[in-house]
Amino acid sequence: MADNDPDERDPGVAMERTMLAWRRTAIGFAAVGAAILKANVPAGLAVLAMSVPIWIVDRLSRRSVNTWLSARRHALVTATVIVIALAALAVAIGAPSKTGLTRPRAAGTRPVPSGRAYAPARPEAAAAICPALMPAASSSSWLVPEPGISRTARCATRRSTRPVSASASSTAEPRPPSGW
Amino acid sequence: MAGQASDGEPRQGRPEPDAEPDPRFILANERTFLAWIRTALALIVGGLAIVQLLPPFAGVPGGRHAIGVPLIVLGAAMAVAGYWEWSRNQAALRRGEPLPRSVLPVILGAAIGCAGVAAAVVSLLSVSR
Repeated sequence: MADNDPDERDPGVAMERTMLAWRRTAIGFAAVGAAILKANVPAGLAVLAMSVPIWIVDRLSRRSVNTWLSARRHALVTATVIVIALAALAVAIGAPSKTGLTRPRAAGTRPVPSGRAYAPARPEAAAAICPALMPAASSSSWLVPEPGISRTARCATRRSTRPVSASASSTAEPRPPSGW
Repeated sequence: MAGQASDGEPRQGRPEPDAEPDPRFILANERTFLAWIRTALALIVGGLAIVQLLPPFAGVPGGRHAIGVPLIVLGAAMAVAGYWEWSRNQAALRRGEPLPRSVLPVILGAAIGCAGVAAAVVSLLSVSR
């Protein structure tokens, strides 16, 4: 009758909770392996493979009590963590970081100093750059739109990188300027 | 002798010396060991993530390594200390002695506090430059 009583076989469900703790630990090993796998594939695979014996070591040790594995499973897990820490140290110190936050640099350009890749342009620099990009806009002899031509349409034509004659719609001028 | 009163009778509620203790205590000690192992793994992953995933601190060369590498070393130390404490508790359970006092929470708390202070200092240095 005692064998049928769950509380008699596993008082307080302590054995089941311990088994779940071993499985959580194995999942933790797998997560660490996946994290290292992103930086170093061989080390990550090795750590990932260690989660399998951690998963089954508890079941094996419970089936046969007082075996070599049962007596040394705690030392085995500790040694595994130390090996993982050494692998992580090797990856952290040896492998280049993969931040994924740096902008890819175009060929022929100088490297941007660390941490200043996204510094906003100063207003003085913007004021110097804009006339250089649109020389005609800053050197108009008229300073006012020509009669019958909107400033917006003329500016849009000047910003176009294609020749004006390449597309009729890019001119946006319904008729020739007055005086022509 | 441990586990016995002064008149030679076994103490109430404690097993005989070197007797097999209650399996629930053994299993609880094992779960505690596994919890420390998971803590060590979390420290290792945290240190690795700081070094590998964070963008570099501007003006503080080696700032990521200064925070992450000690966390990885601390993870390895926590695993060893967890095993040492598990074996100590196991021996105390088998002898019927009171469990020894653990210093691991104090060490872990102090180390994480130091890592947090170091991260704050590196961040402030990076912002000020």
